[in-house]
Amino acid sequence: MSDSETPIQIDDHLDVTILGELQTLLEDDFPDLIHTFLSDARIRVRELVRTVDSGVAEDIRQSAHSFKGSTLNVGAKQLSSLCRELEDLARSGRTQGSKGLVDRIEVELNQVEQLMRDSYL
Amino acid sequence: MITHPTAQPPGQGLRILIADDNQSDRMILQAIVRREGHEVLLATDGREAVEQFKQHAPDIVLMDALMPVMNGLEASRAIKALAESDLVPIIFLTSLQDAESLAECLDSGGDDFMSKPYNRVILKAKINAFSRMRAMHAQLQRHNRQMLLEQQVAKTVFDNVAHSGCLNLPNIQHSLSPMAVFNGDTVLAERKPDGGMLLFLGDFTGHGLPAAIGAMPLAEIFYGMTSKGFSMEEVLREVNSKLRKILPVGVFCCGAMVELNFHNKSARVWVGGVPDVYLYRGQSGQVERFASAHLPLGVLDPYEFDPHSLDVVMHNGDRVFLWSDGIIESRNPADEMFGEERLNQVFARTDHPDRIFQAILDQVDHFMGGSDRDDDITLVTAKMVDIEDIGMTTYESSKGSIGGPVNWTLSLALHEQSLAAFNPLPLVMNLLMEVEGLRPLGGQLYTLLAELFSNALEHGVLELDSGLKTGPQGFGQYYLQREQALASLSDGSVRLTLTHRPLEIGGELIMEVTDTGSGFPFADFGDEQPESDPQPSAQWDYSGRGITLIRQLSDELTYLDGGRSVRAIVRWPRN
Repeated sequence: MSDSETPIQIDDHLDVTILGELQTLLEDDFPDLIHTFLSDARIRVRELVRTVDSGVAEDIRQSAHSFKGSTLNVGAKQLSSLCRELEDLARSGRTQGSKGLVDRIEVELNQVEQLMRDSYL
Repeated sequence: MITHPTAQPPGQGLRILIADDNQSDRMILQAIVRREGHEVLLATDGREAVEQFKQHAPDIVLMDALMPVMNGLEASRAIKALAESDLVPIIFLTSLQDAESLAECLDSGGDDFMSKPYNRVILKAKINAFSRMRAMHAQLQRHNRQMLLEQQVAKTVFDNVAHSGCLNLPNIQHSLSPMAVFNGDTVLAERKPDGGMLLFLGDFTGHGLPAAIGAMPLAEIFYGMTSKGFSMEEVLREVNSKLRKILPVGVFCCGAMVELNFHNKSARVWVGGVPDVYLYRGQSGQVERFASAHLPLGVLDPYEFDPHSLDVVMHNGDRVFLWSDGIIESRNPADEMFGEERLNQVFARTDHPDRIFQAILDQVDHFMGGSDRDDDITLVTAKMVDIEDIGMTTYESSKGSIGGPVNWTLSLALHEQSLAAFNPLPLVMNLLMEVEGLRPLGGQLYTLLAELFSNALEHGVLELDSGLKTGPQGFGQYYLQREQALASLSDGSVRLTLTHRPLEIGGELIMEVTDTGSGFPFADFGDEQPESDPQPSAQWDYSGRGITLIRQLSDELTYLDGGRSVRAIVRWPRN
């Protein structure tokens, strides 16, 4: 669903300061971190879809919370704020609207993956 | 206990466990921690974290709160339990936001938080802070170990001073925690040279070494003076003035002392600041109480101190019970005190007198909810028995001289003012024990001299009627009169003349005791008591002079000068 007319603004999706610090910190291991994050994120999103389908609010909350943590650490700020939205929704006990949020998370992950591959690998 | 290396400077080269189920998070943390020069251990869930902790004993744990298999909260509880008294800081890695979840992390043993995204500067600062805390904790632990070591040394010295006295006699039962001296509790028992026994239970104020420090001079005085034949009053006086002198203000010793006389079946009781001493009557099952009538030991100056005790007649099977306030004040989980009422119930309900002691321990233990807490209960009880049941005193002398003085004469006259103020027996016994051949006869010689001297003083000089001693109030009345008569004595004296000389084999000791009284018609009583003597205690024959006993203890006994002078001869070796 990406709009090919408008170029993607990296700052809307990624915290480049955090990623820069990680690059300095991890040096040669940095690409490995990005690969690890991306493959792990795919698994986490599948898990999110599964919990949203099952409709148990507490399970959704935990999965969203956990995913939020790792997205924060790599500076995927838009992804983590979507996770947080889903977490807050589930904490209030509601599941209505969670499907839509998971869809947006999947789209955002695609964006993040593309940006990371373009700029950091 | 798991021990941790503590030698490295704070913040350098620690072993840090990272437990996180997310691989990219682990990679980032690992990189940060390694950069700071620490060794990293990794775990992907709570169970692995606990395993890693068991095997590698990390110094600090970074723990994700939410993990599969075993979550971070459970794992940190397990790790804190394994660490026992060691400080193992656990920092929770969390993006938790609400206060309640954060509080739960701390409640389960967490020491701090680290929120995502991880900040290298903050993490470094936290690790350094906890490293300093660990170093301080380790130092505290070392000080604590050192203190326990010093307590052990102090206890060994105390045990050498206090040994066990005669607490192992069959008529005594006692309960005292092995480390009770550091709770301030002391139980002492020692035989007197005349076969009697002194029993003491003390409770020093405070805890630890300050409470224990007074127990050593107390025990030293108690054992030394009791075994030399000093009276209970003299022992109490000396203990009080010593404690008064050495202990700081506010430290003193609550205590009770009981003297048991197995010959004439009586007890003297002194209670200063501990709960009532109980006298349990074996026949009737009744309990007589002796309330504290004195200030604790070490409070009053010597001239203010009152060592007066109560005298009471006892019968075989009667028991005295001494205790610290630990029993009455022990508390159950609902914070109620055991109390005197429950204690009295134990006496009323226990079917056999021999079982009362154990019943008290059991009841208090049960009341407090079990689990070996009677360790802190200090209790001693002694039963009145015949002297044959526990044997005579073996007079222990540490004098090393061989042979000693063999031909000498000592003459000592005590006049009216000295009679009330000075007990010559320990002094005289000290000299007698210099003679090697007399040492095995110490107990016997003491009893003999004590009888001869008190006859001369009480019946000769003071002219007291020993008939007073036989009634139920007898001893109290008798000793009261003795005291009054001594205080108002204006004229009179007792002379002791002791001569020792060598014989062809061994030697002989000639003891002459002369008083200024009016004598007594000894001739009528010079021989053995008639078989038909109806009096239950044969030693209280003529006017309580205990002639039968004196005769048994000496090889020759002669009354002279109308009963005003008596000569007893003891030869050694005895057959």
